[in-house]
Amino acid sequence: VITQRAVDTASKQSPATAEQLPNRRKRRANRAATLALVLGAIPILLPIGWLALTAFQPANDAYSRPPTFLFHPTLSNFSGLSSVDFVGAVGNSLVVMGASVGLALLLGIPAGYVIARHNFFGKRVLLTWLFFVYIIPALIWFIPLYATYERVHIIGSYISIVLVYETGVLPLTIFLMAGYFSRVSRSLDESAMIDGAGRWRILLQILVPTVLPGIATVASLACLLSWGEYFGALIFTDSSTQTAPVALASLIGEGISDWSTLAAGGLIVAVPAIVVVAVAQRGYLRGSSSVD
Amino acid sequence: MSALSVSPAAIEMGRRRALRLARGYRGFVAAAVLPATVVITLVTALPLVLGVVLSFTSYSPTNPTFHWVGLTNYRFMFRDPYVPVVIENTYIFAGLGLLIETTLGLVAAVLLARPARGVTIFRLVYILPLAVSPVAAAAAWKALFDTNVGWINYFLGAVRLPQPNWLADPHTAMLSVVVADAWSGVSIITIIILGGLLSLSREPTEAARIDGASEIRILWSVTLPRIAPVVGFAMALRLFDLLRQFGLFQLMTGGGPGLTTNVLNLYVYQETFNFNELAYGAALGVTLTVMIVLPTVIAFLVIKRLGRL
Repeated sequence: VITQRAVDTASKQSPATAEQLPNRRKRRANRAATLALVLGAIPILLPIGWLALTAFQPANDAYSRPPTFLFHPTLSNFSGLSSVDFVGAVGNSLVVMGASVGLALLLGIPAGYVIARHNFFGKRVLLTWLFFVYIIPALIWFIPLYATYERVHIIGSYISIVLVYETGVLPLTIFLMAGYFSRVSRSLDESAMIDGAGRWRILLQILVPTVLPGIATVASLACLLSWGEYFGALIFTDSSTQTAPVALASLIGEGISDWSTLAAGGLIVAVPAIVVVAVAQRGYLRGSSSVD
Repeated sequence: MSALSVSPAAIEMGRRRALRLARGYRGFVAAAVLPATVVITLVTALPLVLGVVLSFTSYSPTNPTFHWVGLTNYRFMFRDPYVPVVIENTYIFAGLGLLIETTLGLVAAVLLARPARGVTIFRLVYILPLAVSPVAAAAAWKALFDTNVGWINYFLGAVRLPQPNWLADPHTAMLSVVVADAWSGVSIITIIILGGLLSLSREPTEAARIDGASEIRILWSVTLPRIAPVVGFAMALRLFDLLRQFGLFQLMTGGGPGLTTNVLNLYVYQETFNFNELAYGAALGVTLTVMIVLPTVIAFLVIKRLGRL
């Protein structure tokens, strides 16, 4: 009976061998792909690992060779950040981020909606210009804006840096929002209009809720841009309005001696952004697929 | 009778048109678009004009007058021996960076698009670097490349390889910044191409598989041609960012040793804000803009032409 069963299973399997061969090859390919992904992840995680490890290591462990993973974690490295008023800088970053992203959404959502739905005089010019704003190096606005702000004495103010950030955040918001609105069916607007809703009501009460995931994605991207930005902040903020990246950069000098404090500051700048990306990841993949 | 011959759809269309007119269509469009347009104009178009004007004057923060000096700043720029070096460095950095980032990004995206177990974790890991501020990245890479505390030289020493002074050696400094830039650049290219790959329809791939094509052959002849526009878009996007990289250079090498890692954006910054030469900086800025916009426009025209073929 047993042999009979063995023959049965063998005969059941024998026609499958033609498919098994590619299956085995496929499994081998999958294993190779996973191995490649693991190897690739090492250099990706290396800088983040250095930040996370060094930030919590006592200084003598931070310099031990080979790098040690056995240590008593400490928070004392974070206290060194008070020398550059890091708490104040994080506060400034949050204010600048909230204001610049808020303004960009306030102006960019209606503009994106109208660009997606209507034709109007100058639409092509506006879109072409927004594209050029994206590719032209920011320095070309920074120099004249610096001269202007100096004249009207707003250099170093929140207003100056928020306006500077609109050069990057606002075109991004308009482009992406126009993309999200154009994927919503027009029949939604039209049925609401026939029901007698006004245009602003249609936008705010019907379309904005529909594209809310898109708005969240745009907002998260804009927040990332604003939170990590360095070049503009270096030029347009002063000691009272400096953002976290500027404060962190002031710790990077020629002969750095205090790597632990630097790592603690770097971790504070990196972690919120990493959390945002982890949460918004799916939205980025969905959003970027609209490119083609 | 004639009224009956008008279709309900036509009546509906007429109604919609009437509604559109009635509800102040123009007013709504203007109110929605004008505020954004005004802000964009104030912070970009007007400064651009002012910047071009500045480049023909001797304006400086200490002497804030629009004294017209014609082409003096541009003539000075052409005699500035640093400018050609800095331009060369910018293009070497951008070219090298784009090559490395596109290759690695494409490979990573193809691997991450495979439906395998645990692939979502890898997707997250591979896009993490785009979250990290260039300043935090510069700090970490500066530490990793450091001769005293750096992990890289420790591991190189452990396997008895030479341990260069990465950031201070003129032969390795540029490469080190390319590595630090590629760290985040690869993740940007990866996420764009991955988005493109995941949005592809399955039919052409399945058809090729039924015809007996190997996976490599499918990738090369079926998948890659279909995502070529997305790859082109990702490359163009990275090219602008590479051409205007500033933070990594300023924080990792300061443009040194010598001029070996000084690039246009950093050089213009130093001239403008460290030496307070606003007008000269504006002339350099105009040049930088032309140098970035021209290759970009050419690249886009080429991509458009390729897309049509």
